[in-house]
Amino acid sequence: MTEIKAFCSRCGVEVEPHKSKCPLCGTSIQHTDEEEPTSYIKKYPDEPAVKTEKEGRTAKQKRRLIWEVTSVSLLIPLLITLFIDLIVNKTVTWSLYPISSLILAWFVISAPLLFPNKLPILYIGETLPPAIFLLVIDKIEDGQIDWLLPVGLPIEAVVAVIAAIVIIGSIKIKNKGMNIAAFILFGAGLICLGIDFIVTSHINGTFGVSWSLYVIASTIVIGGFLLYIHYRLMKNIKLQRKLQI
Amino acid sequence: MNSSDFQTIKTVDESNQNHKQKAQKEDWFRLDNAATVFSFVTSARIPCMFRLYANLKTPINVSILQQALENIITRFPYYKVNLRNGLFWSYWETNSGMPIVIEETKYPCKKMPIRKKGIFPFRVRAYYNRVSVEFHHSITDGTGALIFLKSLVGEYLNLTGISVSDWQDIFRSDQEPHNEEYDDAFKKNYQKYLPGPPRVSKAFHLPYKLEPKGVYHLTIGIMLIKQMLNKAKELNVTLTEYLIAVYLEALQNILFSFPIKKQKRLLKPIRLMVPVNLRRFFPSKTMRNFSLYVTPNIDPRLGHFSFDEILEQVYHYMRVEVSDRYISQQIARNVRGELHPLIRVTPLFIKRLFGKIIYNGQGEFLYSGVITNLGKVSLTEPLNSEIEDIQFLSAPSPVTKTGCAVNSFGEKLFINFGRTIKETHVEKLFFRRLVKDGIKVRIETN
Repeated sequence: MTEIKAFCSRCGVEVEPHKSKCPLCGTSIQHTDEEEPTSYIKKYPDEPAVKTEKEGRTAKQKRRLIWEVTSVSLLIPLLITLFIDLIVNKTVTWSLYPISSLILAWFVISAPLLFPNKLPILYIGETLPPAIFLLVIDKIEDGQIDWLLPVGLPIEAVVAVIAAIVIIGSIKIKNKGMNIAAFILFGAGLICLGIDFIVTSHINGTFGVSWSLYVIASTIVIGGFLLYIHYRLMKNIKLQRKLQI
Repeated sequence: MNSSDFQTIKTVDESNQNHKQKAQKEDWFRLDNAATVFSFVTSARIPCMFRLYANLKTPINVSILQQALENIITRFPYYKVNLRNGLFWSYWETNSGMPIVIEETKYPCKKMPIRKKGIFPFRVRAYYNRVSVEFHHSITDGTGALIFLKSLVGEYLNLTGISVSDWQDIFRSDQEPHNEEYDDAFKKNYQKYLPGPPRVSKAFHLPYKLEPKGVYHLTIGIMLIKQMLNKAKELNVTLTEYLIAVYLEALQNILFSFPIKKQKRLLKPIRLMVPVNLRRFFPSKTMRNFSLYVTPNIDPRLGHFSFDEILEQVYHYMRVEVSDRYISQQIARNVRGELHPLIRVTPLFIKRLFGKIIYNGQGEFLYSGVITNLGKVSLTEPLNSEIEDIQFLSAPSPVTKTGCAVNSFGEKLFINFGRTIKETHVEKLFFRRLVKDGIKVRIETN
């Protein structure tokens, strides 16, 4: 039996006999009746290339729903405090504090729910709103910006950087356990050190730390102990390959 | 080369030797330079998987193929591994499991969860009369994968009753792996004081929307190798140079087919990535990665190039650039980065975060397409008579969007285009040029 051949009149290439269109340009392939191919083995099996979506909500839809519910839940106390303030004082006074706190909470919650996989947006979403919140609080106190620049923002920067390192490190590290608790302790100790440094420097006008030394010493000892327990109890630990530089 | 260069090579060589010994003794070894980059960037969009496949003349018996795989894997201990994370670097650890032959899928080269415990950096698929091996680029290049496929097919056919008297270069399960097969050949050939290659700008990319993740369309052009070689000879170029020129011309024609406003936005050099097997220049038995690339290009900002002009440019470029000196510069740049003390002590998760940025800066964003020629593939008789063909498929890319892998088997030349977009313009223009040049082309797809 001779092999049936089919050609594309535009591209000039031979195509597989069962093709009705040229795979390059889409031109119809003319088959004569007697040449019509009957059966062939497919080069690749048919199967969905992309998993069909499961019934029900996708992860994205679920996150969106949680975000909506949370937004409404935060809006209720916000409106209640605003209306009470307006009814009692005929103007917005003390309610600015809870309102700004609720708006801050909304931003902080929204970022991971709306942009879970976009690290830069997530990071900005978690660090920029607290900075603006501090600015608002500082401003509504007496209409001036007093402590924001020397104290507020530096403390926020310290917390943001250390928290990011601890969170990313904890997510990435294998063999999670007491080592995570140790990292959180170390992070907390460093944050205390940073806060102490910033506050002491601001109050005394000279660089120095005081009370945080007790905290950092305790966290190093306890964190170190937790790490020792964690890695001592890990079975078959192969340090050489894990720590290769 | 001065004495310090020799010293560097010797030191790296000694260090490499130490790691090799460790690998055999301690069942783990470090990733090579290319492997590190591929391990950082791998994702569903950039699976870093390439495929080699053999179509046999008879349907595959999966249980015999499984037995062949189990027999042959002992000859390739450096592939029987699992990628593990250290604090500073990833490493390959011996995988105590056994790889299993799995079913074919509609689209090849799908993502492999390379960091998952127990996962091998390759997979073997069977479908009717086809055996496919898909390798993650972090474990080896086309040369290593081809030797593995040939050994697997050889063992399979042997188990089905085909007796072979002379196995030639096909690895056998009863052989001991050579120590050099474990080599990190990049480090072995690293010359510390060589300057890095000049930086290049970003290249033109096809402005088409990507298909969903995992979709990889194949367009295979089959033709007689003799016709192609004659054509290349007529033009006084090599077959690879001819194909590069055809590919560049296709991309150029696509660029100039857009309206002027869009053209201006897209107007960047058209540059191809052409992998070069470094074993040609630096003798090595390594079965791990040992290939880098040259980048023939045209700059459409200088105007439209005729095919003859493209061919001339490619011809001269390849004569100059495909040399051990220029390739050594790339090795120096890549390995120098890896050996930098600051980079070495940076925790792995931070390296991975920056890995993608580096890849975007130095990787595929600099190229408009990929064309890789594996050359003539052949086993030994009587195995060749049992095989219809062996073909090669490059890794999917969301950046270049099309890639082209070329090899010949017997009398035929196979040009496998893979694409992650719907549009077939590159393939259409490419094969139409071949037809125009008098080549008879048969097209197959998945």
